[in-house]
Amino acid sequence: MSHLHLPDGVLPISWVAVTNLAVLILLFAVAGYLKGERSRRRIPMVAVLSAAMLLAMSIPLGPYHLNLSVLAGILAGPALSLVVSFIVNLFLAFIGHGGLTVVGLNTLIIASEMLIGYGLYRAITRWVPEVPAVAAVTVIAILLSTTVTIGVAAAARLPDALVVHSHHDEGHVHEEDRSASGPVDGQVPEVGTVAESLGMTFAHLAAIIFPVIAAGATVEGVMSGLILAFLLRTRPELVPARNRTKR
Amino acid sequence: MDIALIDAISQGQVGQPGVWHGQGATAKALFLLGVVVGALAARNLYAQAIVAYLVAASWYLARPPWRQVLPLLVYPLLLSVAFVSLRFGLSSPAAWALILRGISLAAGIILVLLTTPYPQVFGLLQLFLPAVVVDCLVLCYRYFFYLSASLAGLFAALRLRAGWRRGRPGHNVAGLARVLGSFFLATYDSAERLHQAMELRGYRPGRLAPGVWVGISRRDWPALVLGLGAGLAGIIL
Repeated sequence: MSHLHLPDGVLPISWVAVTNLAVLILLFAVAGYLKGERSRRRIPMVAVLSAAMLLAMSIPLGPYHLNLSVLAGILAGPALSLVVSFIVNLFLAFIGHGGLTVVGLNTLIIASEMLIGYGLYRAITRWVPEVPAVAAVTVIAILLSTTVTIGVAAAARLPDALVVHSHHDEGHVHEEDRSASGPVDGQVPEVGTVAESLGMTFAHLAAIIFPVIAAGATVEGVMSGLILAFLLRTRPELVPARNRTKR
Repeated sequence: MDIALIDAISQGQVGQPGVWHGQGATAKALFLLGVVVGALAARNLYAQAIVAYLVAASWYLARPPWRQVLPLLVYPLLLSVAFVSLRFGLSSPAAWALILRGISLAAGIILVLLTTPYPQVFGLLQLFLPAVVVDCLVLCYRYFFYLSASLAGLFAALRLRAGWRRGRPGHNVAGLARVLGSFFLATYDSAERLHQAMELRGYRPGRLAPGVWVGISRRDWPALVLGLGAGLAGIIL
């Protein structure tokens, strides 16, 4: 749900570089963990969970599609969530769903959703049964990561190489016209955006986006709860919290 | 799903292989690098348009099955248009440049994947990523097709049992949850079987990725020239 659906080239190069480098460093760190004899058995799990997430994303639910990232995060655990998130985002970028250069940022956002989900789930299942816990945690994690996503979109400045130009005859773009505040140097800016023409601010857009995402998060939460209920009925040993309470 | 279509085209099972299929993976990676550099460095609409034109020319040389692959570009196009529509303070040249940039980059990466068999793609990824992560990518790719068939079978079973009815969302959601629950179980079982098979074969990280490294040869000149052109257009113009 919180996948950052941004095309390539709309984020500053510094953001792209830092996030991709951070993910690469984290991947090398997790790879060291996965090479260990005991953790090696988790490699197939990472692969098939990633494939399952990709397939779940192809299931439409009205205007939404499933993600199952929080459920996958609970099942995969914190260390492997990053690898799962990276694989899913790389494959999505390969088919044009999100830019290739924003794979790092998308990986961090979905991994944060998985980690938040995992952490909250472990914390609240001490008091709350697993099924309502996973439903609630899914909604919370998606809303939190959506906040991050909207924050990124709001904070993102256009790359320096591409800024607005007011000289009608050249098609060049200059920084001075980037703001929506009005004409610069006596020049009249060209056509405004659709949102601008409707008199909307970013806060207005966020106010529209949040309820839509909240509805989708609720759908995903219900689905995650029902899937977990099925797993608890059929193979309870697969569900982390149930294992812990049995010990 | 799109991944299956891209795989079939890259292996030459769908459509006729064009010039681009004969280009080496390294040359195509350098082409993509040129497109990325050119698109990101372009400072005006004209430079961005030239980069887009060179990518379009590459698609023409590749001669993919147009009707099947053009829909792959719809999503990046919609993303770019949506971003531009919601972006405040953009003039029309900048808006067009952003749309062209998003489409050029998406078209570049999709073209490379449409014409490069996956062992060569993973061979390239091995250069940048940890071996064990590339192993996960390879396994994910293989199991995507296996689990896709499994999921299709589960949905067929759901429909045959009348578990999917129009106008009954509650009933459908419960049925879908059962399907996805079964799907997760199939996923776990697949992972367990896979782990046992890997142990029996003496798995060591890095051995799973086919790692087909294809160097640069003379016949790779179209990819290299187009990539260089795109990069230079973005930097110089």
